[in-house]
Amino acid sequence: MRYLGPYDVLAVAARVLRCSSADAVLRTDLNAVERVLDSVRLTSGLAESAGVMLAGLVRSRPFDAANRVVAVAVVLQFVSLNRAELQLEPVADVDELLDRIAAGEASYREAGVFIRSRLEHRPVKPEDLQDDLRLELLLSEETLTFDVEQEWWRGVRMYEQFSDPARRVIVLAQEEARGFDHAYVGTEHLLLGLITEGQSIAARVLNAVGITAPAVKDLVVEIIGRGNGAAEGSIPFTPRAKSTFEYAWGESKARGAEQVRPEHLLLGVLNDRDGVGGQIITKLAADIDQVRRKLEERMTWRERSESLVTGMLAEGASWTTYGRRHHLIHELTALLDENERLHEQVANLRDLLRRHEIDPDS
Amino acid sequence: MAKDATKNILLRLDPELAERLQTVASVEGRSVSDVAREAIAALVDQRRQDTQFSRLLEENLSRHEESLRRLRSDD
Repeated sequence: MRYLGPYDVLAVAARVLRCSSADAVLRTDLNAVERVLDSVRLTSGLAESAGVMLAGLVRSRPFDAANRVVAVAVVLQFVSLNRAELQLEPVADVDELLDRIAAGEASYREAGVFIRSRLEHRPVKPEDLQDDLRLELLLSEETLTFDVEQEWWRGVRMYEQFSDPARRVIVLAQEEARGFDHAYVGTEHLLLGLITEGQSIAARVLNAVGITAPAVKDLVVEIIGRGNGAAEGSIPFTPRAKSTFEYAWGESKARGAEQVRPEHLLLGVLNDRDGVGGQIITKLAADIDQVRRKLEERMTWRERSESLVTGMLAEGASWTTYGRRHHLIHELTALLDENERLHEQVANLRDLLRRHEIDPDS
Repeated sequence: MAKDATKNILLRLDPELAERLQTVASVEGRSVSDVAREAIAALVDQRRQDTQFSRLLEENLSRHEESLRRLRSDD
């Protein structure tokens, strides 16, 4: 959760009171604000934190004018920085609550319950996750020791290198975790994200080896069970999930890829066999190494095809315009997808023949 | 709260910062509170210039303008 500092509160006060920052400092009881913010930092859920903030600011009246309006504006800002919206209408109910808080008749808990009933969470977007992941990884850096090169790429650089499909996988993983009421995103949710994204090589390989979303969901419930309620806003990643991102990033670099793709994420999940995602793959596919081999095989096809396309485009650089190149890339990518799909069908047919004891090469 | 033009502020400062404020105050012949207030105002200005923070604030105030206007005053 993103907590407010005294400068945040003063910035809101200055804007609402339409005065300079220096005037806002003069017109605010900073000690009272600090006390309220200290109490807020002792809380955890967004609604509870916002309740403590609202009750504290209304009771201690740190602003020398329009205290109630500034207090509510501060809470609105706090809530929206944590990706939620607070509905104020009907405003008469808010007034009644604030009157009762000021008279000492309503506690911060009541304020929290009221806020919870008026809170709407904004869906998490990839760009939000970028900030969260960066923040989480930077926090990890503070507690762990890494060599210089790792520090350089961890956190700040990593998520920026994720392709759009890889970011979609992470957003979907968050949604899956929320669906289970889990308070974290683990490798099992990443696995589900990879399956439900549906378009990537990783999704196709998982589908080809019979790892489907319903089967994975059943095992998640069996192994972990349902949670007691997902965190509000974006859900934090487990250390194993973060290690998966790091592994994926390392794999993408080792393979000379410009971006971290879903297939690199799947390599990360496959690498962590003790993680819940790895355990589920082992249960469903029997041979986790076979899944990895299949994935690497498909990745090699794709890499070969892409280098072919790049070569063709480089040769045609003198005769093709930017628009035509763009169109060509689009067409060739569609062709590669179709090629992969046909490869899969051929592989499935060969498997089928073998199961019926017919040599596919005879 | 009292509406005095100035007031003493008690802030928990780390010793190094407190020492720097003390140095600035003695060099400029001003009180530490005065220098601290100026430093805080500069930090608030910095916050107000943060694009994401100010965009969210403006969106909030504009979206809830009517509701905030109708809130009962407690002055």
